Amino acid sequence: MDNEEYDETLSLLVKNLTKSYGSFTAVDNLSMKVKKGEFMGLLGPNGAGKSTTLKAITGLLTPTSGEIYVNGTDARKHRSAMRHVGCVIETPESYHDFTPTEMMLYVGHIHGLSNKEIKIRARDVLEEVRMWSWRDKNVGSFSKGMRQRVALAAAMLPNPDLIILDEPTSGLDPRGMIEIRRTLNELKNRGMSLLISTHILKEVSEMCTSMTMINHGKTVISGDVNTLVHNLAKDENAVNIELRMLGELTPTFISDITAMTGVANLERTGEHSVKFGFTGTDEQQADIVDLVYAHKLRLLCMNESGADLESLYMKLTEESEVNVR
Amino acid sequence: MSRKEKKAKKVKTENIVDNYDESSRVITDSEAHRDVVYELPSYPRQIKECFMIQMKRYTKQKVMWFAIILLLMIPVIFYVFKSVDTLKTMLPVSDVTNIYIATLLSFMPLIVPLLAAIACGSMLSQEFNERTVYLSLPLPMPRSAFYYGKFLAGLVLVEGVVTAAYGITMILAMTVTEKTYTSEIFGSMLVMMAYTFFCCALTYVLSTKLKRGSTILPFILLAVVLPVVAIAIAELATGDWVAPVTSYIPSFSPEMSIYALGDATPFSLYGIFCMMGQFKAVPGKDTLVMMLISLLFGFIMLMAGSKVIKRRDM
Repeated sequence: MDNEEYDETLSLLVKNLTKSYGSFTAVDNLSMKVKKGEFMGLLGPNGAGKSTTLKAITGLLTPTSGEIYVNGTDARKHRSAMRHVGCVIETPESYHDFTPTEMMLYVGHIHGLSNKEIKIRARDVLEEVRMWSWRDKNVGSFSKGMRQRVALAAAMLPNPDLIILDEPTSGLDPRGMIEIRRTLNELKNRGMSLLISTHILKEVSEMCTSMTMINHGKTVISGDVNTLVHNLAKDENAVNIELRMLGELTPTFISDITAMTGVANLERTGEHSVKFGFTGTDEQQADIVDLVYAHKLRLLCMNESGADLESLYMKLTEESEVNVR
Repeated sequence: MSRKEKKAKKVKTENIVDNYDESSRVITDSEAHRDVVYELPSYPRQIKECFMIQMKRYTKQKVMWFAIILLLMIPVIFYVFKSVDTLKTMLPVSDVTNIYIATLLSFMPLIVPLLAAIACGSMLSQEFNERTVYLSLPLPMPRSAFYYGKFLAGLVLVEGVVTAAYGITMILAMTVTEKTYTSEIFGSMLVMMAYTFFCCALTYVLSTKLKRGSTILPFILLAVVLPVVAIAIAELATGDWVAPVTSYIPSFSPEMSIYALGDATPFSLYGIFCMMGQFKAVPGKDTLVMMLISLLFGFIMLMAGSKVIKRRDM
């Protein structure tokens, strides 16, 4: 434990990371934390510095300055810190004349696994990524998606605490994307941490618990995905809530709900449903639910829409572009 | 990689579309050893793993076949010369086995740089181009383990061919003659092995710098450029002490190795120049000095390459 800021809940700590190429700064004083068990999405437009950041963390690039700690160990000074990390950077081209089994042997031996251990772990991870029946075929004959899955299996082989993925679903067909997401969600259930760089906002909203957005190598925003989206919605007055209930919607109920703080533009969308704009707090939103039950109605569904990750992404990228100019 | 190979690779890849193993197996975390924490192996063991993976790659590549064909050429040449009466006179069939061996090995000054260039010249740049380093370098091992492990594999392959060439030649020579001078053969082999180390180190270091792997460039450098420079330095050198020093430039190692066995003409640039006229440049006579100088130059280059690879951004 060679860092004062390290606390045991952290899987990865990046402090003031900078990578410059001459006068061009690809990553500028970037800091972030990934907690144990947290799935963090690294978002940003093309050229924002996502891949450079991940390459610096994994040791493929030498940072100009900054500190990187994995489970409290300085990864820049001690390569052994990477034993806790499995990573797939871009689409790594496995040795074309090797089979997935041979790849697992190589990665396993470097991590210190015995042949017997590799046999057990290789079966587990190759089955996990649905490549077990392809274990003895040459990787060179595989499609991009299959190679991506073999690389993911190799990353998972030594039971890492943190998995780092750089655009793992880019160039994959829809089924390939779904399969990768399915595998990653399995890892979430096992308490692994994940740092994933992606363009696909759906991936972040479906899988990640937190996100860091970067542009021009700098952090634009970082935090819990739901909180960030919710805060944006509040700022933009953009949340629409739709309620579907069991029971008769009396005029008293309609007038009571219209009078609630933060409710605007209420309209009936069906015999048992209403829709309205909402700008209130979480407590005020909870009061609406209480009101429903007070009128002896049973709540079937409360659907919140209007603010999503896409809106947040667009807003933040536009703002950061303006700031740079 | 050639255009033809790229095309073949593309076609091969396109043959298999995304396929999924539909079978499923439910096992517990403990059955799958998902909760086991593994201890990292020692640095030498990591070097060994990188060495093994490269050796495995060689077994699947054409370089291995090339090495085997080269070794098979020795008995082929031997039996062709032996069976054709008119050609018999071209081989110095005498009871001095060493000259016999020297004649059969006279092509080694060209073969060693060629084999070193093939085995080591594009080893690292191929990893960078094909992005296979993205798999190896994030692993928990120092870059130097990866660097030295791969180099050792290339070195062992080429040294193996050199040793085998000496062995095969000695066995063949002993079928026609009776007398051998073991110490001279041993000295010659050590000089050739040190030169092999020098060639492998030089071509390997080039591959850390080159964007694209090349076999021709390091081969030309070793077989043409460096010998020409060495000959020029030795020819232009003046002063009593300069000439002996220049005679130990590592480029003269293969010639020295052949001359140590007997009066055969090495099949090299120097050998060709010698046939054309007299030279002031003469390879040194002390095998130990020549061997140490070749090893020293090789180590210096290897260290320089290690620094390059340590700093290189992928």
